[in-house]
Amino acid sequence: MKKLSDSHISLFLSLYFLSLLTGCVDPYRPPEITSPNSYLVVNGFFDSAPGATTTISLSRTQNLADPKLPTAETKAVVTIEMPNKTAYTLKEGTSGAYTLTGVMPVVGETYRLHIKTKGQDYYSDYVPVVPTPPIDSISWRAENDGLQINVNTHDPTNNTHYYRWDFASTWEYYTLYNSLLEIKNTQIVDRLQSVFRCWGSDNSTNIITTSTNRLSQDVVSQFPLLHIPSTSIKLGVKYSIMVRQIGLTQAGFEYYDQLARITQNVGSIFDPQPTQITGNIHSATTASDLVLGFFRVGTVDSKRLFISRSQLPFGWNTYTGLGGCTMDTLSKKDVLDMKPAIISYDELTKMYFTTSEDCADCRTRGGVITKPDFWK
Amino acid sequence: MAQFYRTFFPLLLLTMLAIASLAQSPADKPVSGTFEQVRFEQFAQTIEAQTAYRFFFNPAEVDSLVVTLNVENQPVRSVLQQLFNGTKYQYAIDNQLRVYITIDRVIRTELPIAFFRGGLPGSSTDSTLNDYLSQQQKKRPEPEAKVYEIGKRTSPIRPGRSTLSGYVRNVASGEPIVGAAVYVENPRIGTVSDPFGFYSVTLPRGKHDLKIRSIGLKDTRRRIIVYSDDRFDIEMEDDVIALKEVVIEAEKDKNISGLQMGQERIDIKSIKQVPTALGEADILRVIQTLPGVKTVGESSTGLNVRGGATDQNLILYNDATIYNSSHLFGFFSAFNPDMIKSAELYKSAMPAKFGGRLSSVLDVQTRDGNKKKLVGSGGIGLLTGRLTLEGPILKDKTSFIVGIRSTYSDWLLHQLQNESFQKSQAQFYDLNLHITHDMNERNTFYLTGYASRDKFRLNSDTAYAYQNKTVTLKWKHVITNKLYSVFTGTYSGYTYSVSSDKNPVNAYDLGFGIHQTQVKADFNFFPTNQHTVDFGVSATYYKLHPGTFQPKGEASLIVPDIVADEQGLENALYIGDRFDLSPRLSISGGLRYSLYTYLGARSVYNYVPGQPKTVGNIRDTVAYTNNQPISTYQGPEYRLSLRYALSGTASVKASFNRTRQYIQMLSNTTVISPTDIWKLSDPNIKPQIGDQYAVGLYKNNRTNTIELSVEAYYKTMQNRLDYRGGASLILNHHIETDVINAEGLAYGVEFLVKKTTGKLNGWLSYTYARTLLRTTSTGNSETINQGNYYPSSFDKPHDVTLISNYKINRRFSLSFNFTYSTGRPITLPVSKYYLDGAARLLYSERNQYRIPDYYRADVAMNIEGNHKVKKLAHSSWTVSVYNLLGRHNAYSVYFKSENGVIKSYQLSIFGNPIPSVTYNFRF
Repeated sequence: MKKLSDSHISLFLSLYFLSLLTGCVDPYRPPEITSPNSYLVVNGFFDSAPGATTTISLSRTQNLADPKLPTAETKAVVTIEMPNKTAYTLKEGTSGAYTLTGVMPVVGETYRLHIKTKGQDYYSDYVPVVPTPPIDSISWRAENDGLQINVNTHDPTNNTHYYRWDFASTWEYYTLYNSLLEIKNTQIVDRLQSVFRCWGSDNSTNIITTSTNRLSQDVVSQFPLLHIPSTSIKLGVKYSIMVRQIGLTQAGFEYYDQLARITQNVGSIFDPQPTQITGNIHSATTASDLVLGFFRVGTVDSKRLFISRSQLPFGWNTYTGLGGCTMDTLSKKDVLDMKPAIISYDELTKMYFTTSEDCADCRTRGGVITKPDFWK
Repeated sequence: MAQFYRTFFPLLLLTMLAIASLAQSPADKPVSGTFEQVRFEQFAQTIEAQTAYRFFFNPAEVDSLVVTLNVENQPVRSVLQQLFNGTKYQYAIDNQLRVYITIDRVIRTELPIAFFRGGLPGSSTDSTLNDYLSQQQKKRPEPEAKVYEIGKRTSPIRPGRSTLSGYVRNVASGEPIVGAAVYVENPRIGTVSDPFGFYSVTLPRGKHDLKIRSIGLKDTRRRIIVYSDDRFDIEMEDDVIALKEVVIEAEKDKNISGLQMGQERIDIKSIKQVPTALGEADILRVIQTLPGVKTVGESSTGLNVRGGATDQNLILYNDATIYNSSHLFGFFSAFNPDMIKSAELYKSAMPAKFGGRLSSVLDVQTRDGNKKKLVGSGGIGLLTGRLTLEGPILKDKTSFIVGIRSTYSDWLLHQLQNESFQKSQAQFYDLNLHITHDMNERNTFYLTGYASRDKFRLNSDTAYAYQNKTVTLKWKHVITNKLYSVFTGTYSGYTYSVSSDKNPVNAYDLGFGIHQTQVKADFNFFPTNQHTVDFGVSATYYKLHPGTFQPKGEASLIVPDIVADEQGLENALYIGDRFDLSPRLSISGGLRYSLYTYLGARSVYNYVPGQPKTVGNIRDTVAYTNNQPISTYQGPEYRLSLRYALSGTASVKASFNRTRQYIQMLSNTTVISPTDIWKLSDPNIKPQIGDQYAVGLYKNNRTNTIELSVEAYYKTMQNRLDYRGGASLILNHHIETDVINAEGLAYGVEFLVKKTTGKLNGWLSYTYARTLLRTTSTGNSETINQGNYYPSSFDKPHDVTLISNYKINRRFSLSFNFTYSTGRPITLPVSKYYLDGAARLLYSERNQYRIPDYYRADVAMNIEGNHKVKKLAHSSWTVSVYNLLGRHNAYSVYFKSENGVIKSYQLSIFGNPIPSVTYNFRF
């Protein structure tokens, strides 16, 4: 009798452990939930950078199944007030955005947000001005078969202690075939704008916070922001990340930390129970009339990083999703009938080299062909 | 005279032989008949009616013999051969067709050949004779036949009553037998042996037929003449029954006659029958199937007893408290099944000798080692292996039992191709040692040691480890026949640590520890048969290290943070009496008084009175020196229960008890997690107080094989803790600012049908139970759900459980489990909003929705090896499939914002049927 090979044993064990440890996750359809109330949501902060424009956006909560964009809260009166009764009124712009220019908050003072809408008054707590220390560096390294991007910062005055980051990624990528021709009004014409090269982008959706409270110095070292798998299209040509750093008060940190915990980490075995979380803005009259959002005063520091393909490990292969692309040679009539993407025209055979739209137009994968201003 | 015999007997023999040959023909007349569960006497009558055979037997010896046979035209001899082959019964037929039925020894119907010629009695040609003669030397004097004199002989016997007491032990291993009924029938007086196997019974002086019965052991009796008080030990034999069918009878009406209510006793036999996820017999899993016991989720060994929280159970392992009763994320319980004798769970009417926890007591007892010979047992499952050895150190006096259990999951993980598994680590072990020493008739010593350790890391840089350590030293001293004492000293330690060293700048070690030392003296007093009194004192000292946070490595910038140690002393005094007012009415009353002191050194924060306890409301800080009392809580705990027998098979019971708890576990996760911390009551956190009222109705069928019971309870809990949203509990120097005072309310009704004997046994239960919480603070930030009652996270109103076992034959048995329960409450998002560019969720009020209902079926088969008495090792296999239907039972439901879109998921721990095989052996 032949001994069971190692791979058999391993396969069996893998299956057994998979069924034991990983459990399983299924989509869940909750019972019909509709909230009885629609609550006020406040976005934005009082920017203390010189010459900056402060924008506060007001909107409302929606039912979970509502596919529409949130409804903007218009015709509200938004003011920023100081304990000494000084008040600055924000100017209403489009779609629930209220702006203020030319007022710079003073470090050491406290400010609060006052919103009057639909006959109700809402106030935030008085909050201090928290300037954000600059980002020291955005560092990266190849790790866990992918790109790990970390942030480093410190506050020499040992004052900040609480940090939050968000970031925006941009990446350059190409499609497989450079399409020189296109069909316009049943005519095959030269393509004036190349759709061979695109720039894709996305924003961080997770809340990223940390605290240096347990350290003897206000130092953030190699704090992980994100990890990109080595096969990602983002790393195919050139990748750039813009990291925004925000210093927080302890209350602000606790708010974002709780928000992160209940929106990002729920469901695993040891995670805390979710709770109703509200920020530092409250209704003046009815406690159950919730306000969502957190008002703060301070600055934002940002830094951009570029990483080219040539800087990354040699063995990494980008999964382009274009492996299945084929070229087809068609007559003019067929081209006009079938409307494929046209790569080029062969003078000799009077035929067109064609392929599918995905293989010739980079925009089908979400990017834009306009080169961003900051790209280098 | 000798001459006479020599001539007369051969003559007689010759005559008999002649008669026998004449009578040969009717003897062979075949018989027919179908016997279905027929008493032997009836069987004999049927044969007698068909043939000339006549049966002779002692009716008492065959009263448990039931005949199930189908014969057609068979000679009587072969019918009898079929019936008795392999049983303890022997038959003999003489030449006058008289059939003699005896136990063990065959009646010789003829004298041996050459009996009178002075032939050697031991001549090997006659094996029956050899057996017959040698058996008398082999056999111990039959204790059942002997008449024992209790006390100093007097003549005449003085009137009045005397007490006899002693131990009931297993004759083979010397282990004490718990719960054996020791009684006389006329007048009906009896008692039940206690956890040490000790009994004490007071009888009128004179002759008695003392009967002793216990499940799984041969019923036995002792003929006694009581003259005065004396000690009387009884040994019982294992019931290695081999009859085709034998009805075992034992004191099965405990349900009806016992005073205790809300109590469940589980022995290792039933524990081993219940299928578990990974094939290993697991005491806590079986406890979870009992009515009134719930658990939040699949991989949790935490118990929620009658609406209580998981920290409200006093889990004792030979009297020492176990703080974390799970291994490997809760897939295994902390108890090695080979070490365990039994477990007793008190859900209500907690005896006065127990205290310190609100909801229940789970009293797990280990076996005493075999006092006669060295034996071992063990098992190998898919994830664990275990080995137990036991035997005498001094024969009949000192015995030991030692057990080890470990997992090789770590090794398995490294065999896997998957990289994340290879980076993971999961290991545990537990070690057990128990020594019993009978110094003399009056003094017995017990020593138990237990150590367990768990370590795991799941594809991350954070490593978790925790360990339990307990030591128990117990001295049992019999003072008089009516009074004995037990002195116990225990130590329980639980520590955990979390460490990370991925980034040298942030590398840390986080530690938590709890150390509990307890001394107690318990006395049991049997003044008369109507009273059983117990009383005692205990002192428990707690020392907690609530949290240490240390840098790991030289590059680490972590500032050490140490939460100051906590100390507390809990003293208690108790007395209880069980009083049988009449055969129908019994009352058990108990009073426990506990006194708790929170001790320094520590700085205690004082808060502005009437304001929520927040950091902003700290008024001042008071520093206390070492061992200085900071605050004291005390109060009586009442325990009262009564039973009224409606008839011989039905009774009503009622109970009330109050309990107090001075130490609580803080956890804002729903299941017990390895980072939960324990906290002593202090000036800002008051002890919990629980009151429970329960009433029950119990009914057995006539033969006591089916038990029916209904119990209802109503329970209130004061000073329960719930948590503010996003409370942080680890390394918190002022935990009172993150907890909210709440009060609890629980009520329910439990129905149970249980069949304990027969081929098919098991139980079916249905429970309706609610458990609710309500915040009691008035401050706005301290209320949950506007101060209304809300369901606690283990509120599962409906619960149906079926545990069944069917013995196909002696070697195969099948078990089947089914359980259904309402999904537990959760907090669901009710609306969404956009903040900082991403969709966020607004959750409902706490616990307003439920996850889908839970149901699961499991099946297991036990295959025993052959039943030869002498062989190298006895082995058995257990093959089981957990979650047979492969149902994806939701463990939790969660909502996640993925790329700005809200998606909902349910997580199931077991999404497939989990098969497993375990090999067990004994040698």
